Amino acid sequence: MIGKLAFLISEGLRSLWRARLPALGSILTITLTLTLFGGAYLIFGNFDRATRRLQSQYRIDVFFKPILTNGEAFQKYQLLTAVEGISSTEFISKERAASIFKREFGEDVVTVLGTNPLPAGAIVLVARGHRTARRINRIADDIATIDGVTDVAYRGELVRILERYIRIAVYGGLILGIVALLGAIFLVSNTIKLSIYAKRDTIDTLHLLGATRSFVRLPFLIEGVLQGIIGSLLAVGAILGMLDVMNYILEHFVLYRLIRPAFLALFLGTMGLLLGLIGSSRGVGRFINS
Amino acid sequence: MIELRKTTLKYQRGPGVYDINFTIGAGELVFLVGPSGAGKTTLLKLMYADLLPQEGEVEVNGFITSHMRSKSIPHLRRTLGLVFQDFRLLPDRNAYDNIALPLHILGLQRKDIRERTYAALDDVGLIDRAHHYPRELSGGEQQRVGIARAIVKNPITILADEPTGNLDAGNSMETLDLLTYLANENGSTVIIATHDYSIVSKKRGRLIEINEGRLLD
Ligand SMILES: Nc1ncnc2c1ncn2[C@@H]1O[C@H](COP(=O)(O)OP(=O)(O)OP(=O)(O)O)[C@@H](O)[C@H]1O
Ligand SMILES: [Mg+2]
Repeated sequence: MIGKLAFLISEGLRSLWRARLPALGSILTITLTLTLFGGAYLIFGNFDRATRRLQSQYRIDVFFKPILTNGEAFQKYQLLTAVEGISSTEFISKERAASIFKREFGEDVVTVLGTNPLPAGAIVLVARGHRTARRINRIADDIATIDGVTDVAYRGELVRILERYIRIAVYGGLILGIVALLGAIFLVSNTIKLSIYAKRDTIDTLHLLGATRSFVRLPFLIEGVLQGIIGSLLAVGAILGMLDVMNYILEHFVLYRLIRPAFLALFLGTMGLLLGLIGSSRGVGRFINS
Repeated sequence: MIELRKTTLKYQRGPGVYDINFTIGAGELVFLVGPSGAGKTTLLKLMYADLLPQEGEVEVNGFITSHMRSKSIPHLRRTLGLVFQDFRLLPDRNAYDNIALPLHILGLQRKDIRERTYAALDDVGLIDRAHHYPRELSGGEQQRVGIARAIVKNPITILADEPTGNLDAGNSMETLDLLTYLANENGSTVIIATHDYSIVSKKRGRLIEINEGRLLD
């Protein structure tokens, strides 16, 4: 059994080598497809980390009425916990507000005015899973209805823009990926058909010698799977290369490095294998009957 | 054992063979003779289930071809060794690999395959040509590879369709001797189809004559 399988694999290799030129075309298409999907996987794997770094974008500033004392404001502040979609809150007393003001504007309002006009406030972080422009709007509205809150400020615009670009990138990538995927399957099945056509006399002879259908088909399926595996190896190489280049560039601008997502090679290898298998099964299809 | 019972096959666009009856026992040497177009190849194809009878039955080594599922055809063929006029060697592999092929199909162990393939190469006197490709062999040598490929698996029956058709007189005799000698050693039944009566007269074997699709008696 193992000997037979080894024989069929070597037949597949032989077949691949003979049709290496058309095979190269389908291998490169598989590489392109998997690079697109792998790129998406890379973005997906880094998205979470990136958004955590952009946490300030998911911050809502809450201001209480200036006439409320710190104590009164703190009572209102405690009502915030009832709002859905909030991960953490931080109370800002009037005194903290004044020191933040001083840090940002370089002026001490208390000495200038003789009294502290700043209201107490709170910083609210939006929980993960609620970080869409629409959800943040809802949360801000909910907070605004709390008695004693005068103002709610957040940088929703940036979130909305970020969201739009991510959506364009994801959908665009997906559409491109699917087109490439179909192309790859088509090309694999075509190279397999070519291989089969070139070997039709051999196939007839094999049948006459008592070969079963699967004995005749398996080398062609293996040929397709090999194309898929080679294609996915190239794609893994391409993505790791791109990762290095991107990190090199990022290093010069921001303190952020993309990480290699877990199971990248496994993900791409499996996809490549499936691509090759689907393509070659289509190619073998009704071609080899009996 | 091979038995044809009232076997008829008519080609859609041509003649065929009609109402054929004969039985060939184990170990027999049979010449299937008749002029070109008589139906010899048709009869052999019926025996290796390349064609199925429209009427009657063909029974080969326990398989009744018209009653079996197409999945069983490979199993029937594994009991046979086929030899063709045009050799039908695979052009992209050497003599050794061509001869080993039926053993790979049978799924034998590597070691067995090696031993038996070399034994078959030795039987046909081509040990020194083991790594030659078909295009590097003469017609007679190619047919010897074809014979080695047929006998390597010790088939119950050898079916040879004009095995000497492409060979000169000397090679023809040699091929015929080899085929009958090796088959005799293995106890295989041998059926040789030919239109060449001259080779028939040189061997002691049973004659089945066919003309225009019908047996003569
Ligand atoms: N596929 C086919 N379709 C139609 N007619 C066919 C087909 N194959 C063979 N024939 C015809 O059937 C008849 C018998 O053919 P067959 O090949 O059995 O003859 P043969 O005895 O082997 O001849 P030869 O000695 O020339 O090989 C011939 O008249 C041939 O033309
Ligand atoms: Mg013929």
